[in-house]
Amino acid sequence: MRCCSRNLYWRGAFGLLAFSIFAADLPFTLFTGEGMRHPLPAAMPGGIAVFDADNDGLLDLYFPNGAPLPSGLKSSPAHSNSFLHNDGNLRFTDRSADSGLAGSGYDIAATAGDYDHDGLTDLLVSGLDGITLYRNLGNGRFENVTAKAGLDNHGRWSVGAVWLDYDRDGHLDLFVVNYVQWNPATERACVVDGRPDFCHPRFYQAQPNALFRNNGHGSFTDVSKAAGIAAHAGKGMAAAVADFNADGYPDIFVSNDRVFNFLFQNTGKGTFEEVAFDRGVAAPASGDPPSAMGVDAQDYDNDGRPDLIYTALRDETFPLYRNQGADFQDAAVSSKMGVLTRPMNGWGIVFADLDNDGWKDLAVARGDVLSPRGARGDKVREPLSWFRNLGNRQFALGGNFAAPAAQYRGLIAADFNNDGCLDLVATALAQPARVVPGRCPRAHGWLKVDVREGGAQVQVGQQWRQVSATQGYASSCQCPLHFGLGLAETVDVRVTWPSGRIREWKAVKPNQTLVAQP
Amino acid sequence: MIPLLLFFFQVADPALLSQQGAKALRAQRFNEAEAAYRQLVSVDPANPMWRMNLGITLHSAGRYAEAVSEFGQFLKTNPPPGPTHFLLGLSQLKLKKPCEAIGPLEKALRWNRDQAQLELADALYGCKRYSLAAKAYEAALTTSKKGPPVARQAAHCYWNARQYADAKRLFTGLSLDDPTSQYEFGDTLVRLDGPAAGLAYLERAAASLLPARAELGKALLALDRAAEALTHLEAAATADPALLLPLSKCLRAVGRTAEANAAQTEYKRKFAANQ
Repeated sequence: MRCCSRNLYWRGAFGLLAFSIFAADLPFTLFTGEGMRHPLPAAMPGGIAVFDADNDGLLDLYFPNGAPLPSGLKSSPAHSNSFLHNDGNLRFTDRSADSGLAGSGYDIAATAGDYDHDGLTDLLVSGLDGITLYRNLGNGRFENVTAKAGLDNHGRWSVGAVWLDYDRDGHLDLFVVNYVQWNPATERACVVDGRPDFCHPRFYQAQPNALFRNNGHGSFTDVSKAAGIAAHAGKGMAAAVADFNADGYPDIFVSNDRVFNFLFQNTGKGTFEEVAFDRGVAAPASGDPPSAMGVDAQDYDNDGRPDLIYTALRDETFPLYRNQGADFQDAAVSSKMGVLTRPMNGWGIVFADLDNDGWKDLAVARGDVLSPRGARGDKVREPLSWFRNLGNRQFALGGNFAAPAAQYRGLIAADFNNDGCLDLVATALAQPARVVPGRCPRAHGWLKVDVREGGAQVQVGQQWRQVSATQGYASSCQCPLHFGLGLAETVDVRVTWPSGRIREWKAVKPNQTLVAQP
Repeated sequence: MIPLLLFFFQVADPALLSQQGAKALRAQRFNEAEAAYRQLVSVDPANPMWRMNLGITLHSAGRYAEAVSEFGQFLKTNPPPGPTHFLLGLSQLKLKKPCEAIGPLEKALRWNRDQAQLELADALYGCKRYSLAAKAYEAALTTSKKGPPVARQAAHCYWNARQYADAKRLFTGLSLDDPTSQYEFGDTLVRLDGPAAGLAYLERAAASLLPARAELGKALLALDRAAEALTHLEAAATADPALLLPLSKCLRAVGRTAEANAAQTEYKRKFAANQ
């Protein structure tokens, strides 16, 4: 089945930059398993993995899918996870059937990374009953090697994971974000505004996250306790990896749902210290831990330091933290993001230079957590929106993309048709996934830097990015790093790997892809 | 003995009893009216109107629970929307059962919008269905002579429902001379337009309302005016432990590091249960 043959959503308004002429449905519909009851997992699915599965230069798509609840077991093709091959020109073919990626349980998130250094990107799928590692065999087929690799999340409900080389030994390790303890036998019946709906996270017990060290020969060791991760129970929704304190080691920020966030600072000795309070990111300045959802960490003000933003629910605003080196400044007010996001419910969020002007904008997948059959059912659907980075540490509302209002969840910005403009792919509860083609100004140049090694830092002119596949909520993009260049005729490029090795290019012309290998 | 005999003689005539009941009700001789209608209910149970009149009598006498019972009996006959729905809703409101009042008042709305709109809004508000209450108050603005108080109540409901754009629309133009309205409008402006926009109203309300001091302190802190925020947050944090975190940031900003650390530790301790 191919996409783009039905349901084109034409942009209704002109004025603000018309990035998207239309959004098109993809051949994947997200199954939630909500049924007549409101089991909590049904509000949570919708991750996306973007990666070039066959190294043909085009980014493919993988969508983890839900299952009937409370069993959490797939029982029909409609529950299958989907692998869509990119045929070019924003056309995708469903190649799930023989891929070995269909899954069997209630899956939520997917994280792409080449954990075995064979040049083929593998997949880690997170879900209600744990994690599954799929090794890319190279012929469009994947093998479930979870047990062989020694990965065991002890049946915990995971909504995301991050590949990172925390000990800088050259092998990708795995950090797993665990949400809450959910037991269908003890699931309560909750009421919101007089109607049955999903329960508040306070009714569920927190869980610790997990860290698995890559042994280097296809297996992993659970080092959660030894590394200091297991000591901190939270209600993890997403994680972002970056070297926040510029000590050369990747740190991990975890957004927690209605409890304090974590910032696991890498000591460089195989352990982490939880320093969210000390660095000012445990909770917003108001003191109320919000319903933190998806997170992204990139340098939005071009000062060389990775900043942080995460989504939350209506009236909580999306906290934006500017990295000042020693700590973070709550920039929700000064950046205008507080005022702009007050009426929004957000999930996936990505820093992405949508107009190629040299400043990273923000795209957001919006949608309420509540049920469409609940008392507020007529208000749970929201648009896909973006915020323009004004280049002065402030944002303005860019507008809404030409896609129907929905309960959006996962969101990825990537150049699927290699035209130099970032496209968007988003999932929505009980609806088809959608692709929104980018339409950036032609006068603005771009540059892509293909660096596969997590933790590498790339400087293009005054812009910085750190390599991390994980983006937003439950999603990942093992993609070339994208830089808008505005009207610049040439730029200097510098890549710094975690090992300290540096490679530089001088006076690089726009509109090309550099491949950087250590 | 003679009056009693006379009374029993009269029960045989429903028309006469009805006249007596109506006359006594108009004269607010509720005991007498009640007796008449109870007699009518017993001698002519097939006529639901006697139950309705008995209910009206009991409602008028302030015996709301008994009135609700009689109205309920009457409404089992599925009459079209009418005054009984309205009075049943009113009785439930008097009995502090606003959620139970909503259904009858919604039906009464179809009978007489002018009369029932405000009571329905009160019921929705009492039942904490703020968004619907706000809309009902706004609708009542067209029928009620209590313009500004009703508009203020609608704005208050929109604020409670976190529909700040609507709250701002209604607050704007009202004479906000009470601290609650000043606080809610100031908070609304902070949320919609940023902390600087709401400062003036929050400052006016802060003299008498602790929540206004909390919001004022947070707004000042967001504007990097920690020294001014400090006293407000110190005062408000005694009632709301969530404010210990902004208080600790304030204390740190003014160089009182040890106190900042203590406030942060206390904040974490008080939120530990939530973790």
